[in-house]
Amino acid sequence: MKELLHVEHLTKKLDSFQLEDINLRLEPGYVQGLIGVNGTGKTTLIRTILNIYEKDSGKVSVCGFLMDEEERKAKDRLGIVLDTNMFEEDFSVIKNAEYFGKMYSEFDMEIFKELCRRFQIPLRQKIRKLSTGFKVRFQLAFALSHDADLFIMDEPASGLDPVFRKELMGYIQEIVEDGTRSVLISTHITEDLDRIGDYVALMKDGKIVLNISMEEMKERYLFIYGTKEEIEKLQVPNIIYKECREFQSYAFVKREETENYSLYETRRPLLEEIMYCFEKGGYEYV
Amino acid sequence: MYSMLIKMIFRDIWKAIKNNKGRIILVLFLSLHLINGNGTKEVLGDNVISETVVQSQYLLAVFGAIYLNMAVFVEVPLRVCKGLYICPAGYQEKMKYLYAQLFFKMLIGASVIVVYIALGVKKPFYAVGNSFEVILLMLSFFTMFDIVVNVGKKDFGRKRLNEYGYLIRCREEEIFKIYWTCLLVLEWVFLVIDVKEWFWIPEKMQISIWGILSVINVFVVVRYTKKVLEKVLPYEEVYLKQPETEEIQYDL
Repeated sequence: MKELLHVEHLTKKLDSFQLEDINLRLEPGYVQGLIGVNGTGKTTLIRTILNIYEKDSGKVSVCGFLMDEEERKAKDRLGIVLDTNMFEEDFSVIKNAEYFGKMYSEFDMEIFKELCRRFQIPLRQKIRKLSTGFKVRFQLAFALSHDADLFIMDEPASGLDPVFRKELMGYIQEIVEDGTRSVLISTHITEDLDRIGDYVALMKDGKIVLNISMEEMKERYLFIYGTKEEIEKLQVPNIIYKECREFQSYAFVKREETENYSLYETRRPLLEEIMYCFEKGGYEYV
Repeated sequence: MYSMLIKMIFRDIWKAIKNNKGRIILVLFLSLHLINGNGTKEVLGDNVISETVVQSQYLLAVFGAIYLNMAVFVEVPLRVCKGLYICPAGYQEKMKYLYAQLFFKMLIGASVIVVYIALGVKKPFYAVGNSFEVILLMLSFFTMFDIVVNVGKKDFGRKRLNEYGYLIRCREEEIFKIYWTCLLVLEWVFLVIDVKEWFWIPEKMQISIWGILSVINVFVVVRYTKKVLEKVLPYEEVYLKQPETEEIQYDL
């Protein structure tokens, strides 16, 4: 199957921070999440993939077009929603769409206007005067108006109200539904990814330390509950993190095939909990 | 795309004018008063020959216009608009955009000089073919070019500083902004002073000297403009947030 995104051995140094040997593949029909605590390099990675930041080494190709050699063709296939606005703040929504829309081979102004109507974006309003949430809505409307194959979103939900955030997740699901398009989304609201994500990549200090399917992610790790004493004395392999309190104690472990966990009270973790426990307990058993 | 570009340039220029309005009005008033026939005569005295008066008027008009351009354009750096980094635009499109920006800024700068001459001297071309005028126009063009090729961060062209507070410049920028600027200042001095009286340089040699200087000016423009523009292509060079203090976290 043709990959929509292929990132190979990507490195980028930004002062004291460095993205190291990033590899990522995304086939059509999937939502790939990118998670990690603040400062792990999610935004840097997305901006380097988009060639906003110049990479130091490695390869990025979008829909088969190498970003180095055919940036124009590659970006023609991309729908982009970033956490910061990149459009001209002093121009109206419609003017921005007119000017920048011309650069896409398949931009459809009618679709854009229809989406603006659905998202309640005032067409004549200057971008500067839009709230953070409406700036995201505008970017989303623009990204959906030029028949993109791959959508790259950097923290799109961070400035949105819960209602539109839920709607956004619906749109993302709609995008991948027909199996021809994909979404790469970085977010720290992992609850959204729990619902719509197919794959998830966990970043730490500029590296992707884990990149697996959501199912595998949730199968691989386990919460074991017990009393404070039981958890303190727990003897199972691959314990990543323990939290012992008077009222609730648990251990976060990497599941071992040979181990019998039926003796304990267990639960599959959520993405947020996985991130928390790795951050607290270390990435040794990732 | 070009209509947006022109609007953006005018918006930036308007911001710079608003920031420097006091200085601009003062220079405008003073220089126009001096350029005006009476003002120039007051400075030069009544017994100077008329050609010298007119030349002085032209020089004052050009200096005034260049100063105004400098006050404005120093805050209007050359930069690719952010939208081009996410829309389908490769190296060619971004460079085309920068060249267009350079062209429009030169056009605006040149218009200011022409309007200034027209307002002050009240006759834009007083003697077609006069060597003084040809050199004046040539020098004005190159000086404007030197001013307009202005790179820097953010909206107001803030320069990057190293840890000791010195400007960080690439080699091409150094050539443009230090060596070439010095050469242009020397050329202006050469034009302003009466070369014949001070150095007894024969006219033929003067023509040769101006010829060589013109070739050097053209060489600098042709050889280094593209390289300086290429330096401002990367987003990181122009827009990336830099922490002002250690406490501020990087935009990772």
